[in-house]
Amino acid sequence: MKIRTKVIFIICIISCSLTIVVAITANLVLLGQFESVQNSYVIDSTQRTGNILQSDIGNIKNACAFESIWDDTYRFVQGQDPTYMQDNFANYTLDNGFNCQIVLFINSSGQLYNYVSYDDSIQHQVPLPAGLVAEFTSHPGLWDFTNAQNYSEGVILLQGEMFLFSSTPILPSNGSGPVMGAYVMIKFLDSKEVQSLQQRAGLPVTLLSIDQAKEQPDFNDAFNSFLQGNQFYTKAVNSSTIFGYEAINDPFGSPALILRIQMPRDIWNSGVLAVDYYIVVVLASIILIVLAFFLFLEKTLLSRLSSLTLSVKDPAKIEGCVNSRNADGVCQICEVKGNDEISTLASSINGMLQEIGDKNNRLRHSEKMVTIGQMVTMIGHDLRNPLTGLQNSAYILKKRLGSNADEMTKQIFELMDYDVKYSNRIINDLLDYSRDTKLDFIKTSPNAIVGESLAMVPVPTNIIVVSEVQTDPKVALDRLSIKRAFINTIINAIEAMPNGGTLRISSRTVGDNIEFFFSDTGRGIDESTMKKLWTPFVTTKAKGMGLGLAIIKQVIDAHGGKISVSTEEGKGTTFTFTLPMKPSEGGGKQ
Amino acid sequence: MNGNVNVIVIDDDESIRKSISIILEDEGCKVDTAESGAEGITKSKAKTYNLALIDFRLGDIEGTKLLTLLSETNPKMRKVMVTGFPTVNNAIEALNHGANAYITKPFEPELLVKTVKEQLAEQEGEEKYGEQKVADFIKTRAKEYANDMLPNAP
Repeated sequence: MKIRTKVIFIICIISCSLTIVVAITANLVLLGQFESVQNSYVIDSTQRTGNILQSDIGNIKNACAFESIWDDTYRFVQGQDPTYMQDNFANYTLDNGFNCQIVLFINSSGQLYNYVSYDDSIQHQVPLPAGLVAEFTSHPGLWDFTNAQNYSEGVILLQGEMFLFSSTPILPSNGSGPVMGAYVMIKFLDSKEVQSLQQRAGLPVTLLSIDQAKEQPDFNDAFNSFLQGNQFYTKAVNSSTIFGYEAINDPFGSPALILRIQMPRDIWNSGVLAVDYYIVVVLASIILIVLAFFLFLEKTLLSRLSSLTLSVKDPAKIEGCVNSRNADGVCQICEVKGNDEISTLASSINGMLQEIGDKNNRLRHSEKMVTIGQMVTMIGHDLRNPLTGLQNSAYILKKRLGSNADEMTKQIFELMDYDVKYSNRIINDLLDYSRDTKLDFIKTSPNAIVGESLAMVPVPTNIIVVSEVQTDPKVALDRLSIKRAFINTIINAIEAMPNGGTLRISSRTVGDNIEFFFSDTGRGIDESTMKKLWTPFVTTKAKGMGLGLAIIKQVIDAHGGKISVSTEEGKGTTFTFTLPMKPSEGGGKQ
Repeated sequence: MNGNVNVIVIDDDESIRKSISIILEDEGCKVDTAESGAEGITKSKAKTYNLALIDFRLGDIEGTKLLTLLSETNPKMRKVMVTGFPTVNNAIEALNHGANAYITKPFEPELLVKTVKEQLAEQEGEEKYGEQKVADFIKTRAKEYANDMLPNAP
């Protein structure tokens, strides 16, 4: 797998994981908080609605207490006020002040003394629901009072119906004296009452008796929760609605009915929206950061690695690293940018390619040289035989003709002699160039080796040779090959000065190197020749193989030295050979 | 040189064999030629040669091998190696295998004549020295013999 693919893969995994973690955390923590706020709000509202119901009970109680501790009522239940009912309940109607549908007078022995049952929707007296009084009076706690402080109130289920009621002791207006029974006000907890409750609470309200509640699954859940001691219960039914439940107990402490309010889940939905926004923002940030990171990685690493790969993939480019070098001769196949690990790698690869290129070139050169060598050795041998025959034949003819030879014949003999020698020189040059240069380092004085070389070259009379070469220090050189190089240099200098001039040979030591200078005052070298100066078999001379300079270079290279040439057309040329004074490591063979 | 000097030229190149023959014959030698090592050996067995000019590389045999073989058949024969491969190694090898001289192609005919003459002169000197030594030995032995015969002589 490519690094780029791996990075993208890892980045995707990290981003996804981060997003998932953020989403889960946001949902658990933030949404949890919103849900809890929502629930508290629902519970508050449920409690508020319950309180409204309680206030209704309070109202009934107030009315009930007002009527029960009253001398008229006290006397009435003792049979002493025959117009009481007429005075207080005209036509047995209950006006708004009573705020109930039924009023019961129960005497101290638990018997119904009198009652009012009125349906204000039909504005008519109605009979008491059957069994209602019997069920009511079956609970002595609801009516059997002993003093002014006793009372009972709340919700109650009678005959399966839900009622609000209040029961207070019947006493004289001063509150003293024996209790003469209970004054009871009962109000139907019907749809009308629920509607009124709804209006005041501003919420949809449902009231179910415990028996009804057990048949409704959501009410049943609430009921079970109340059994565990909870006072309130909330339940979200869908994404937009939540119910709040409260148990309303009867005076005996048992749940009589369950109140349910319905509310929109606004808070929770705001939470969901907030969490969604939060996740989107976090995701966008992660994407941005990841993108920035990837771009950074791409720019600083991946694209550069790719371009490195592309650079080294092209065999034509690498081929010897010859054409991609800068002015300093450093291989530039891989672009070196900045100063970091990649640029170090790039320059290392460049160095390696350069080394490979150089070695390849040397190898190719030496392979070529071996081939040339084999060919030249063969040609040399084959040519030397006919040359010997030719030379011998000329010798025989010359000798036999002796003084009989005319001037022209003598000239021809000389010409033959010269050509044989010249041909032989060509063969020697070729053999010298193609042969492995095995160096035999011997300490010698610079002056001596230049002197020996000069002695081998016939210098025309119109050329002055000035030698200013040091006698010391002694330098370790292969005398034979260095002499060959120097002789070639001297011959070139002489040939560059056909009309005469000065050849100045000097030397100096620089550090561990010795420099030899061969300066002539000849015609100089033109630019086009300079370019291919060291290429074998390239020559400007009418006669010659073009191996003179190639041999010089071969010898100096084999010594681990350097050659530099400065020339000015028409003024002269200086060849400078820089040679190590001691054999360099790895040098000595080529 | 007197006309009794026999020289053999062993070289696979005809122009060289022929031109050397003429040059040396002009100098008064009797020259035979052989174009191969085998022919050279055969001829050297049949006739005593004062000097052989041997090409370093022949078609059938290495020059150094031929040198060894010729030293066995004609130990006194002067052997001059002629080579188109002038290297120090070749020269050392030739001398180690009993060559007396070594010249490289293409050589100056004057050098050839000079070398041949030097070798022949050296050979003559050696022969004379050998003859002198034999004469001295005989004289010494004769004296000793006489002394043995006459033990009581004063």
